[in-house]
Amino acid sequence: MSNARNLATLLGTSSTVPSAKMPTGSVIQTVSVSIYSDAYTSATSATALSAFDLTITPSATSSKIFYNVTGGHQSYASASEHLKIWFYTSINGGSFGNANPAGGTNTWQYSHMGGDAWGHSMSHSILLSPNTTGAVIVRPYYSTHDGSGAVFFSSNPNVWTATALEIKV
Amino acid sequence: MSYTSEKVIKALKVLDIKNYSYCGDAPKDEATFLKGFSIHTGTETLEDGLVVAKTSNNPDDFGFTWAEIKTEMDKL
Repeated sequence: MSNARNLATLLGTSSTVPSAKMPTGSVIQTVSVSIYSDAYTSATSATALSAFDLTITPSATSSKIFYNVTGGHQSYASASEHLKIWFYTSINGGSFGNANPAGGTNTWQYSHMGGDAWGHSMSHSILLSPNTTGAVIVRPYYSTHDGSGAVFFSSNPNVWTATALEIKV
Repeated sequence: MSYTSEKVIKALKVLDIKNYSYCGDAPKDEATFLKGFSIHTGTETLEDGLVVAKTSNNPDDFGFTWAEIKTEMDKL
């Protein structure tokens, strides 16, 4: 078989390589969102940050989803506080569950905000195996530890970016 | 007068308003503030035990008015 024929076979009928022809480890799909809102709370109960949702719909049940967040500006106001952050996932319309491998109500991040400790940016990665071709939503939750002040998950105009990659397996 | 989230938080503390959250543009005026502010009206517990806030963005539930918070911010 000629090289041209091999290439045509590899490419299928279009000039775009179909995901089925891509090698394992290929990035099949990318979605991303950048947010520069103020987001803060004074509550000790977790607050859902649906405005920071990122949704990706895998093209195959075998795919992995690599979710990454970076940037932002975690801070405090009025009194020193501890910032607690969770990442929860909803798979194919199901209820939200903790993405922390330790499960339960374990936080993904627990930081002290006070004095000179403010203005942190975050960097977290989560590898998911959702086993679905339905929507996968990743949603942050956050809270203070005692409610004596307020903590910022994000502060304008500092940019917080979430990206999800669908990885072929 | 320029209003910021930091001023809002300090004013809310003076007014003894607790259990709130805000998500949106910097609260430079009443309309922007009301669009982003929520008061927590209760809690619910997720299947794994996480206690999550129930919220309301109805100003009637806030327990204060923009005029009150503005008055406090103007003192800062």
